[in-house]
Amino acid sequence: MWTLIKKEIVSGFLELRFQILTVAVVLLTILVVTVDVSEYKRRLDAYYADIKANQESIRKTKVYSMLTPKAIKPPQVMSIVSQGVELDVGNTVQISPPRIQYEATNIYNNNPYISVFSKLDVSIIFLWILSLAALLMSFDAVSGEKENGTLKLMLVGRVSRAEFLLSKYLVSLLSVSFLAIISIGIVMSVFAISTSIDFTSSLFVKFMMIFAVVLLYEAIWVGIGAFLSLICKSSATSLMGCLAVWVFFLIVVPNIINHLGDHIDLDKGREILQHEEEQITAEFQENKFKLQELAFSNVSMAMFTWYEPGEEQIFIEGANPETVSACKRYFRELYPLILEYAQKKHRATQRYFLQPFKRKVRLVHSYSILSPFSLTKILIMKVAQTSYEDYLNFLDQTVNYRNQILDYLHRKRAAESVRWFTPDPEDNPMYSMKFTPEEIAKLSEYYRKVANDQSRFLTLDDLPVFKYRWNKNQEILKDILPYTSLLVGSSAFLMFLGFWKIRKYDVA
Amino acid sequence: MKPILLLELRSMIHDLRLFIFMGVIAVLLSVGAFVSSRNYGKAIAHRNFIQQNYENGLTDKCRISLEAGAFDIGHIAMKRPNSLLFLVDGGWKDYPDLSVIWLNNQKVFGHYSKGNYYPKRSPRTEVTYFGFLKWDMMFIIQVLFSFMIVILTYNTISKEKELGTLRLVLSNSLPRYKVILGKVLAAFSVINVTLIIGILLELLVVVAIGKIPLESSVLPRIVFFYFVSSGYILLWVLLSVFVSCSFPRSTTCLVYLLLIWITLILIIPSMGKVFVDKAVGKIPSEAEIENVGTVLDNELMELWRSKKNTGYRGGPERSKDDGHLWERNSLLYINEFEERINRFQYSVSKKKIDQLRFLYNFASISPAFLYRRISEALTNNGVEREYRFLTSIQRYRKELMDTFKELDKRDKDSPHLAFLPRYMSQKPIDPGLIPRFKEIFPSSIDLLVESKWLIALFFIEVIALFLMCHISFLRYDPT
Repeated sequence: MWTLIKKEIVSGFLELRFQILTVAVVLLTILVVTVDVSEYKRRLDAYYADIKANQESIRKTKVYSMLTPKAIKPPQVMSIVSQGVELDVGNTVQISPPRIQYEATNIYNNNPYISVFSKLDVSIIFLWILSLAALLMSFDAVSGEKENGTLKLMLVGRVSRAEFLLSKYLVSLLSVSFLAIISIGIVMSVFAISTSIDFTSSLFVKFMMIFAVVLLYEAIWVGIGAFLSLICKSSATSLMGCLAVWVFFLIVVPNIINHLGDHIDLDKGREILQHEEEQITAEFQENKFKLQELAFSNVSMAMFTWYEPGEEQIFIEGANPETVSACKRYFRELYPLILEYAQKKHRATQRYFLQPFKRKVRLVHSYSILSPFSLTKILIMKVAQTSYEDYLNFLDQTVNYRNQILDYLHRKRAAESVRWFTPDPEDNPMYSMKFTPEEIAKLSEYYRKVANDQSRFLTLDDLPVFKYRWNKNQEILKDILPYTSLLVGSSAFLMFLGFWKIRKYDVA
Repeated sequence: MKPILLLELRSMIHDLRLFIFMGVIAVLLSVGAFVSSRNYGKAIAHRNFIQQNYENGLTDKCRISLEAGAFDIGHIAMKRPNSLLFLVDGGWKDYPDLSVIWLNNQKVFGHYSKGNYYPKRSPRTEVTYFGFLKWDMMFIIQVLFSFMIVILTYNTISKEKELGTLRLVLSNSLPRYKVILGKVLAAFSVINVTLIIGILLELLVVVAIGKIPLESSVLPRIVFFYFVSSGYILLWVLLSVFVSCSFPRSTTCLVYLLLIWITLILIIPSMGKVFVDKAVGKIPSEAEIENVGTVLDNELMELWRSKKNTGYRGGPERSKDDGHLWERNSLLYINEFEERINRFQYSVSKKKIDQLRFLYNFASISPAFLYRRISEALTNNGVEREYRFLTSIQRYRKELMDTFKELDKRDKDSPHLAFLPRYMSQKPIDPGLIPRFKEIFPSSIDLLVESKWLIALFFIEVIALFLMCHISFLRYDPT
């Protein structure tokens, strides 16, 4: 059998179709990796710029109510291999007490128009080109030999039918694996020499996981090709069958999978959530108004400027001691109310949007088993950490980060201090404003002078910083194991079918 | 040529592949029509939801005052879903379809990047990993028809050579160009019949489901779409025959054709993203847009401070003694600020569409994408519609401002300082007087004229392929 395998390997590698495919894979990989590495660099630069802007914004914060740090997810380097949904979903969440955001904004994709263009990543080569290659190497495994008249000769010798078929499987798989190794080798080399990529052992393990998944995927296509070669009378018919199956599993079934989760209508959930949020906000405004009436009943509000851009951000300039005490009373009562209503909104968000979203993601993942293409694509995304699950994981981490910020504010007793709402000292001399031109000019001049006074900025060196936690390789492996076993089972089943069929195959 | 044509037709009709192809296409088109009808229904429901929210909000604000109706609500400009969605998807889910117009930039909570009238996608959440895939007829023709054509015709010449029948065909007195023409026409005719049946089937299903209203004005567009699709089919037939003439073995022809297919359908259209920033320029980030707004804001403040006797006093009661003099002076600067920030925001929005146009131009290197582009243009989708939408939004904004100014003039108690907060009419108004957004739709002939150069280019490509095919076969060695 080993002689047969060696002979098959040599003849397979020398075939024109294999050489064409090798050149195509090499050229495409180089092109795609070049494109994606420069795209990744752009995203990395945008990420660092955003981190810097965030730090600067925190440094310039004057009052605690305006403290809105950002939780920013770094770009995933393995998105070069599989972009997944990385550019479709957001990566930045603004943290603030009144709001638990349920959607992230996207700093990388600031042009929604161009998102219609397909993602070009290395997984296209694995999923589209290599599957085609696997079929083209195996569609005439048996029928081709029969048409040439060499099948009878091969089986007359000491080689059994099963050994013959096994050698065909192995050679086809080896040829396609060779193409996969070349492709992955090129990508890893680029990673190793690129200055913006830190090629760690963890990344290497990810590549090995992807290679294993791709190998199983190709094994399925080799199995399909070989099986069709056994059941079709001619190579031409076998080829047609292979391509029909290819189109079915790569285009038709995934298109259907897109719609199988449609009964979970997230847009409807969003609409319901909007109504719920409006009701919760109305209730909050009512209670807030009552607190305002209580706190400011005997206080003149005309003596200071109250900026309220939204979401309970308060910034007061020109307050006097009387208004300062009233404000302190007010915000001391208001702050727990803000947190309570934020939680109410978050519970509604969980119920009408996030839980259905998670269910839909799980559903699409489970339906992906209907096609080896969709299953493999999702597995590669899971290893590369660019799937919807990783996005939802990021949102969960931002909620934890918000809790850290709230703990920090609680430790600082921020809501009870004047620094919640004003950078002015409690004995601010600028409290009498008569709205005359001279007074306005004096006030403007004063605030221009103190604009960069360091004492007016909060000291936030000990503010917790968001650090995104990537899943470890062991966790990823545990997650993909059940799905990978499906790929193993499918390829084993196809091999079994082939062995079963060849027992009674008419070699004449 | 007639005998060759009839012979080829007979052989194709007896080919099982053709019937499998027709069956698959029929199923896909029927499902596509059903999915498109459902998508259209969803798009209309979504639009109605947003419009209704706007109407309710506008009514509430107009009950308070004209000023509230002008300032305290974002005015909605939203695209209308295209009734030819089943033919050409046009990126209805992907392209921005909604604009929220605030008549005072400073009202947008100081966020210049989120502010005035940037077209954006209305809030939608999909869980789709396989986003390249669609159900409209244009996609099925672009991807599946072309694939099927490759499968049906890859061995048109090479198989005859392998079987030895090509020598027999060429040994008689029939000129070579007639042979090749016969083969091309036969394949084209058979697949074209499938196309016609497909379009009719799709129309039948759409009409039967009844969710998409089909007016007579869209009929010319369907006819244009048919002709362009026929051209696309011819292109792939010619390409397959050309490759079949270029290589002796059928398997080699197929491998090359499949690689060409993947390159034209998938690879080339995705490559433009590499160059877009260099070619058109980067889109400013949110931080950069905020910065522009802040710089303009600071310039304005500096200007105020440099002029004596200017300043906003926060309400007409405080400023009536001098006839709101400082506020009138302030308004000049505020209005200039508004216009400058709006010009900047318009330029950012336009640049985004310019990037899209660049990608379309680049991707049009692939005839498959060129076909898509022409189909979108003829059905009022694609790049030009995005430009038209942006222009319509600008026009609508001006219309809103003029209307509010006019309505404000009718109130004698108003200080008439549009659009300064608290200095417009505080009396309620009828919300019916506020204009609503109307998207302008060009006629079918206008769309055809707009796409003339694209169609000409497509036509040139088909002619070029035909000549290459012809020359290649004239030189073909049948032995």
